[in-house]
Amino acid sequence: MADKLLEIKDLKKYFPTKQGMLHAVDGVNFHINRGETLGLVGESGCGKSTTGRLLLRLLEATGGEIIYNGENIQKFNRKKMKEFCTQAQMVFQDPFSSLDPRMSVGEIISEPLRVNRTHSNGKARKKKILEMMEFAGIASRLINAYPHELDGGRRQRVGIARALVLNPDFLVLDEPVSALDVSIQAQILNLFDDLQEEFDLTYLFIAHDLSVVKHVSDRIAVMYMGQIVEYAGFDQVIYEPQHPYTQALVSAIPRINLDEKRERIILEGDVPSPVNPEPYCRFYGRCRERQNFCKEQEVFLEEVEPGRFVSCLLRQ
Amino acid sequence: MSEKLLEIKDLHVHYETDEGTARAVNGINLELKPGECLGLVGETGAGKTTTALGILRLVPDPPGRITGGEILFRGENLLNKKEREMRRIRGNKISMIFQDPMTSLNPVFSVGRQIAENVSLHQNVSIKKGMSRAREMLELVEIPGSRVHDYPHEFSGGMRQRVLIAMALACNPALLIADEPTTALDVTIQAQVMEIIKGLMKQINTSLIMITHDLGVVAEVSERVAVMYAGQLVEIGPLRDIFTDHKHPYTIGLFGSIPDIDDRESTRLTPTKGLMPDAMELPEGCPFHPRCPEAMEKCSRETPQSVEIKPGHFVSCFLFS
Repeated sequence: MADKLLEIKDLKKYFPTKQGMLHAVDGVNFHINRGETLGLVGESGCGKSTTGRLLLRLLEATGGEIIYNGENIQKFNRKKMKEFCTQAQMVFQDPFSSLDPRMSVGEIISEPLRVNRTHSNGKARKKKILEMMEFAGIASRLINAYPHELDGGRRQRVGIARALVLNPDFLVLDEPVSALDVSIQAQILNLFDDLQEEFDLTYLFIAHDLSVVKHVSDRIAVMYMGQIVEYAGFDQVIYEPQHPYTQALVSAIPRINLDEKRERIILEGDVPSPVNPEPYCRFYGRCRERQNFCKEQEVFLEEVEPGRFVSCLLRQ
Repeated sequence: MSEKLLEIKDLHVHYETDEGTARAVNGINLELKPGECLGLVGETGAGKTTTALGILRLVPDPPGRITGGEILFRGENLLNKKEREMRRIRGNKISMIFQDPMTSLNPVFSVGRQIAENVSLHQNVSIKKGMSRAREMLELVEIPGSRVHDYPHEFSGGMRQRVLIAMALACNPALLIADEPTTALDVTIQAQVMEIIKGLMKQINTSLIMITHDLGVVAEVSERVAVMYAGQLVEIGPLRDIFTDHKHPYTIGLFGSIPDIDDRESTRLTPTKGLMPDAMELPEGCPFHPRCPEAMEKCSRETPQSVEIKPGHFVSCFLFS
């Protein structure tokens, strides 16, 4: 049996708005095994980033449980939380706004050491910084450079070095390559690959680009309007998608392989508002296969075959 | 008369700044036939958008300046036209769609009014006539004509982009330049917009230059593909040649960078090392030589000329000359 590093149960996050409750994350369940990469995909506004933030308690959940290494992190006191933060770190999407412009590369990477009062000896700290820079592929001469002197790819590497400096086990990668050009994106994806092997890391990889997610993930969870609609091995999700939304999403990807043209499913309309959603399948309004009974009951994620979970009444 | 709609000869565009001259476009040669769809690909800063703005003479001046070359549109050099004449061409014979659909629409006019303004200016008809044309164009991009009086904020991102397409095509232009038209959109919405663009291209005899960094988008609409790097075209050819038999080391690195969803093994990516040079400090010789895995001594001294290695397939690299 695989070893679960993290498990979330019925996770919810609602934001009060003038129009009503915005259901950003609405009953999400998944787990991540030690050493694997779980890809979390979905379109803008589906709640994938909010989910990532909830996992590290950068946001407090409205409901549900987050179990890390067998312990519910929402019950952690300040001290335990600080300890948890050394084990779980985040890399953010925007390498421009996630680095303090007034700190040098060396200061940014060593800030977690300062906060956690380790490596207080100046020499040891510098050695650690240089070591992390090497792992992240940043030239050591840039230790005194400021973020504005660096290009997007290098900035993202600084963010990665900062996330790794405390030797974490688990990283939440929130759209870590979507702000980068393809060749830089490829360099960073290879870096994540190498680091995972080197440090035995577990990743939650959040992205909207299904090609990228498929490339890095062992399993993939597809999110739509705050809920997981399908959750399975990457090959099941990409090559034999079952949920009508996953099918449309996969078919919509522009392909570079000219000989693998598939029939494209064009969805009607846009993603509806997540404020006060109706208590039935969120995809109902855009679904090509909708039936009357879809509107009569709520639908939950169920295991339809070993390892594959689908939230669709037609498939259950 | 030749059957070329557009011919760009040795175009140079520079931006003069306090820190020096950024050579954004350096000697581009490009041809386009009527009704043809060309994909122009490259990474940020390659000069794709500057090339497009150059065609329409919209390069912001200062700091930008077209320092050399010719842009022949139906045989006439656009660079010799007066500003008044250019205004009659823009939005009429050559239209452009920009990346960000929110900032390209005026928030205080209804979308119909904005389309109608374009039509009435160029075709010398009343706004009222323009409005009925606007209605027709909206229907064409699958937006109900009844929404002609709605304002931009009442539309979603994908619909706004469709409004812009309707506006760009309202005067039946001979050439449409689309600059990253779907980059800001989610994939399912991108698919909707791409379907509309593809459908329209079949219906009307407009040529298209599709500027994008997404090779998947290029594969869908283009007949030919031009790859740009540091202000130059490094490779240009028929779609299939570029996608399955690319020759230039930069193009090879570019394709090696893209995760192919149909590759079940998730093979490790093989991107080119390093970064694109700053347009202010372009290297001597071939602009790609500092990153090129196959660079020779000659590459740092001379700039390679474009060589036709197969009918219609041109490569600018000393490996082939």
